[in-house]
Amino acid sequence: MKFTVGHSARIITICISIVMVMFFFFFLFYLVPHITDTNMNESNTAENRKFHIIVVGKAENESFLQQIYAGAQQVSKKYDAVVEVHVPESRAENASLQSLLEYASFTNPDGIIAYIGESDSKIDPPVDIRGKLIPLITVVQYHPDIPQVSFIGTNYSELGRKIAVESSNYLHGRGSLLIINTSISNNPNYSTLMNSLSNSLEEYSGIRTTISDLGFSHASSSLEGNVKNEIASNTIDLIVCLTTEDTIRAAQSLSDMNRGGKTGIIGFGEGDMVDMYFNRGIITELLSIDPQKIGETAMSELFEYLRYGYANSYIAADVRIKKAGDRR
Amino acid sequence: MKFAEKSIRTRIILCVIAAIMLMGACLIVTIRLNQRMLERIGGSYKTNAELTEFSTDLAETERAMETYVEYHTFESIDSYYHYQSLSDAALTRFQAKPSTETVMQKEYIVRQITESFFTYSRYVVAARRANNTTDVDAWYGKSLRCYSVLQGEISQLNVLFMQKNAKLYNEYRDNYALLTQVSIGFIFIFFMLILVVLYFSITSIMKPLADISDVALRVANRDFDVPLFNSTARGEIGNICRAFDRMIISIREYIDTIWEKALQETELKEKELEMHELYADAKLRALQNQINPHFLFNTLNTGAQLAMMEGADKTCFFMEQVADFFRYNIQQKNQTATIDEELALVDNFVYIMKVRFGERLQFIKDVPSEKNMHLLPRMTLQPLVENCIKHGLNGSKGIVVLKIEKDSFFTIIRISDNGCGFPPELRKKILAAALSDSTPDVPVSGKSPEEENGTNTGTGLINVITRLRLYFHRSNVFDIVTNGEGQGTTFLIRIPNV
Repeated sequence: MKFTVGHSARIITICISIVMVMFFFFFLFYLVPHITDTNMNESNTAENRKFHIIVVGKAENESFLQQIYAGAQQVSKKYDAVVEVHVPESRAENASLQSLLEYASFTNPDGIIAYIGESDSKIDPPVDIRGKLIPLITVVQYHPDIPQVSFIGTNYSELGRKIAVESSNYLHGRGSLLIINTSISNNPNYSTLMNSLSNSLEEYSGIRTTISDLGFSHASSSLEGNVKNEIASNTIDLIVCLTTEDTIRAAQSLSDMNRGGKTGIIGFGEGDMVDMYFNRGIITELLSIDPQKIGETAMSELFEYLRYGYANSYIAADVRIKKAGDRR
Repeated sequence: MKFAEKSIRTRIILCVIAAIMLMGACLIVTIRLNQRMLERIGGSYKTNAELTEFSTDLAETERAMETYVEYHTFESIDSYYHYQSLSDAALTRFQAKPSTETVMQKEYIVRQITESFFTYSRYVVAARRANNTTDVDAWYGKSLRCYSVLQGEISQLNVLFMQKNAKLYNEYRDNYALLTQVSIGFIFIFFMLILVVLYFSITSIMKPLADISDVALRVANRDFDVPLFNSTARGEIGNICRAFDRMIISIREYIDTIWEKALQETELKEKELEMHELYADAKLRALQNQINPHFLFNTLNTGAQLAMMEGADKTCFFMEQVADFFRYNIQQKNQTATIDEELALVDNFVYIMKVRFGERLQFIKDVPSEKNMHLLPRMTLQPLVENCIKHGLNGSKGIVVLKIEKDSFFTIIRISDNGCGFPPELRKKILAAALSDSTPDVPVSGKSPEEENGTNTGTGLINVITRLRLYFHRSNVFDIVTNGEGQGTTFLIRIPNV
C-alpha cells in the first residue's frame, strides 16, 4: 500500500474524530454527572424500612433514653425498623409522659419503648388511628395500669447482693460502711434493694455497717451535712449510695471535705455528673443497669410480640459495674 | 456515490457543515447543561415552598373544621373537604415508609401525624353532623392536639428542608461554577479538535490539487520530465489529472516535433552555408582567374582583328570562338544558367577542341528542337564534356555524345564517351566524396596527382556533382554509368521538370 500525505491526513482525521467522540462521551456521561452529582451521602445511603419504633420519655431521663435508643438502633437493621427517640429538649417544656405517648400514638408507630418513672400515674394506653393498642415496652418502672407488652427493669434483690459483694471486695472483708438511704420509704423496689443489701452484708462479719436513714422530704443540704457528720464522727471507709442523686451528693461532700480517694464511694446510676466524679476518682465504683442492653432487649421483645403475638412480660436488666481501674 | 468521489466543493461544504453541526451540538449540550443547573439552583428551595403550601392547606382544613364545629355551616364543611383533598394530594409526595435518613423520616412522621389529624378531624366532623357533643368534645380536643403537634413537626421539617436545601443550593452553586469552567474548557478543546479535523480533512481533499500545482510549477519551469498522474478517480480532480496527463503528453510530442524540425532546419542551414562557401570559393577562384582570361580574351580579340586584316578568316573565327568561351566564363552574373546557355558554351568548347584534335574527335549532339529553359548551375555541362573528351580519346577516335531527353518528371541529360570507362571503386569514391564534399584519394585518370593538372584531379567533377545536389536538393540528380570495361562512361543529369 502506497502511503501518501493524503493517506496520513485521512488517518489523522479519523483518529482525531474518534478522540473527539470519546471526549464528547467522556464529558457528557462521566464528567458532567460527576460534577452535577451532589454529595448528599445521607440521602444516597438512606434506606426505607418496614417498621417504625419510637422511644419516649421525659427530659430528665434523656441521657438514659438516648442510650436505650442507641441500643435499639444497633439492632434496628436486623428487624428492618427505624428507631426514633422523642424526648423533650429540656425540662422547661414540662411535657407529661401522657402527652409524649400521645405524640407517639399520632405517628402511628409499630411499637413504643417508654421510660415510665415512679411518679407517672394514670396513663392512657397509646392507640393508633384505628383505635388499636400500640405495642408498648416499659423500662425501669413497672406500671400495672398500662397494658404493656413487656417490662424491662432491675432485679433489685440481685442488685443488693451485687453491691454487698462489691463493698466486701473494696474493703477486703474488713472496714466501716455507710449506706445512704434517702429514697421513698414505701417504694417496694427500693425496699427490696435495701433488704437484699442488708442481708448480704450481714454475711461479712468484718464489715461494720451504718445506715444513714434519711427520709424523702430531707433537703439535699441536710443530706450533705449528715454525710459530713457521719464521716467526721466515725471512720468511714466506704459510702454506698442507692440512687444517682445520692451518689452525686456523697461525692460532693467528700470533695468538699477533701476526702476524695481516702473514703470510697460505691454509687448507682448514670449521668454526666456521676461520670465526672467517677473520672476524678472520687466515686470508686459505679453500678448501673445497662441501658443499651435494655434497648436491644426491648427491640427483641417488641418484634417477638409483633411476630408471634406474645413476649416475656418481665425481663431483668443486666447490671453494669464500672470500677476506678476501668477509667479511660 | 462515495464521499471521495464527490466534487471538491461538495466535500468541503459537507466538511464545513459537519464541523458547524458538531460545534452547534457541543454548544447546545453545554448550554442545556448550564440551563439544567440553573433550574436546579432555582428549584433548591422548592420543597420549602411546597411544604409551606401544604401547611397553609392544613391550616385551612383545621380552620374549616373549627368553623364547622362552631357554626355547622355548609360552606365550612365544603371548605373542609376542599382543603383536606388538597392536603391529601400533597401528602402523597411525602415519604410513605420509615427511613433511616433524617429528613425523609421527618417527612414520614409528618405524613403519619397528618393522617392521624385527618382521621380525628373526620371523627369530629362526623360527630358534629350527628350532633354527638360528647364525641365532638373528645375528638375535637384530640384533633387540635394532633394539629398542634403536626404544626411543630412541619416547622421542624421546614427547618430540615431549609438546612438541606441551603446545603444543596451551595453545592449546586459550586457545581454550576465548576461546570461553567469545565464547559468552557470542553468547548475550547472540542472546537480545537474540530478545527484540526477540518484542517486535515481539507488538506486531504486539497492534496491532489497541491500535487497538480507542484507538477504545473515544474512544467512552467520547463521541466517536462514529470510523472504522470494516471488517476482513475472520478470528479473534477480525476478530470484535471487526466487532462494534465494528456497535456503533458501533447507537450512532449510537440517538443519532439519541434526538435526534429529544428534539426532539419539546422541541417538545411548548414548545407546552405556550405553552398555559399562553395560559391564564394568558386567566385574567388573565378575572380583570381579573371585576370588571365581578360588578358587572354583581349589578346584573342586583338589576334582575331589581326587575322581578319590579314585575310585569315578561319583563324579569325577560331579566335572569336575561343574569345566567346572565355567571355562566358568571365560573365558569370548569375550562379545559374539555362540548358540552352550551357549547350552554347559546350558548342564553343567543342569547336575549339575539334580544331585541336581534328578528325580524332567526334561530337554528337542530340537535343530537342524546342528551347530548354530549365535552370542549372553554371559551368555544369562543359566540365563533363571536357572530361569525356579527355578520357574518351584513347589515342584513337573519340566519340562524345550529348543527349537530352524529356519525360513526364525529368529532363535527362546524358554525356557519354567511348573511352576506357570508369573503375567502379573510383565512381563510388567520387560519388561519396561529392556527398561528403571532399576530394577522393585516387585521381580520376588513374595517374598520380603530380601528373595531373588542376582540371584532371576530379575536383572539377566533384564540384559539378556537389553543386548539382545542393542546387536541386536531390542526391540522385547526378550519376555515373559505366557502360562496361572499355565501353566508355555516361554522365547522367536528371533535372526535375518542376
